[in-house]
Amino acid sequence: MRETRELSELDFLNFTSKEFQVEHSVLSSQTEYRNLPNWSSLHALLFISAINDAYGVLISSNELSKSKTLGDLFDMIQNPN
Amino acid sequence: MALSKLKGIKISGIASALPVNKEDNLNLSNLGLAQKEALIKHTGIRFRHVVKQKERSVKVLFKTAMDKLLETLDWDKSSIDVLLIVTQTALSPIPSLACQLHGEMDFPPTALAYDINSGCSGFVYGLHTAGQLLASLDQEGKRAILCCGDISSSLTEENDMGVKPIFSDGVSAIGLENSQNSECFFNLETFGKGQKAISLEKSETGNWMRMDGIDVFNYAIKYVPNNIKTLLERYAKESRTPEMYVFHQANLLINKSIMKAVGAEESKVPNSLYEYGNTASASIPLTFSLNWQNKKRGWVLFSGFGVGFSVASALVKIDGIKIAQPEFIHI
Repeated sequence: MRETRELSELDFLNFTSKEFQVEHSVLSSQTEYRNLPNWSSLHALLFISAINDAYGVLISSNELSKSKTLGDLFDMIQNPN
Repeated sequence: MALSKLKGIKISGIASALPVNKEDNLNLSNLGLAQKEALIKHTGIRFRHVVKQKERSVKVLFKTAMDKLLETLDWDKSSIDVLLIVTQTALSPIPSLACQLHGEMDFPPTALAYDINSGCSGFVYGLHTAGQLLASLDQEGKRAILCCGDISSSLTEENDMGVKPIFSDGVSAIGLENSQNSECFFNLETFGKGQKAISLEKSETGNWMRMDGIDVFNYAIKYVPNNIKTLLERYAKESRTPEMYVFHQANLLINKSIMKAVGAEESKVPNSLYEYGNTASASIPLTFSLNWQNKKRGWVLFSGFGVGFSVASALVKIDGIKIAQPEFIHI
């Protein structure tokens, strides 16, 4: 189980790296995504849309506001409401 | 309510009216060029039609559209039995805009007239209500005019970059009449727990429309494809396969996601976002009228969704419609 989670988290970081066009090496589950260079309210929407396309999970505005890090988002994708 | 069907009514004509003044999202002063280009790419919206004089009433646009509709259909004012106005931006709630327009258009006393307070799902709701009213009238050859639209810019705060780049002013007038052998099918739903996704905020500077873009996206993706699929699975037998899917013009991101979820071919899903933006309840009839040829026959799927959160789809046979090109007026 542990390995699967690590693989999936790596997957999610790869996905984020591609979506935000930032080097994978600067991303970790502790990265506060609002500090990413391209972050804006529009990019928040694009990110939510991309997560829905890739993982079939819809993250609400309320859930997003409670999250800080990429790890928080990953947990939501793993355990959708 | 949900699924319902109506017999004996058809859409006979459509005319639209918009302010001639256009604003360009590339000229938004609050955003940098890269942000503006990203906004245009992902929302699909470059231009918005916006009234120059904020105090002007949406009534002026409705009158223009109705005059054009009556001319296009060669209908006499005295032949109108039903007048419905779908809007959320009447300058004053008293008296109803429908009664004001009834008087100013000189429609006959035998015409019933009232407003429906509805936004982006309003065209389909209006179609259902107007259709029911026509079907209930105890004579053949009855006629209804359904008007839909808003001056959304009157509720748009200058610096709100979640709202201003999206909404556009405009209206449509739709002519409906009794027609034997016609059928329309509807799926009307309400998700009132999503009421805060789009709301009106009262502040010292005015009343402003606020939109939570992420929640609107979430509700649209969660509810609209299911609404459409349920309608089509129930009623779209082979002979009623839609030739066109006309969605409310929310933004490109939402509309493409719905298109994919429903499995509609891209060539059957027109959009008018680049030139016209999101014209609230006018967006479906406007987009349809820009993309359908007068002599064409076929089934069309209309789907409106938004403020409420309200979702309404209709499967309608189009046959013998007369469509006018949009009118652009100085307002």
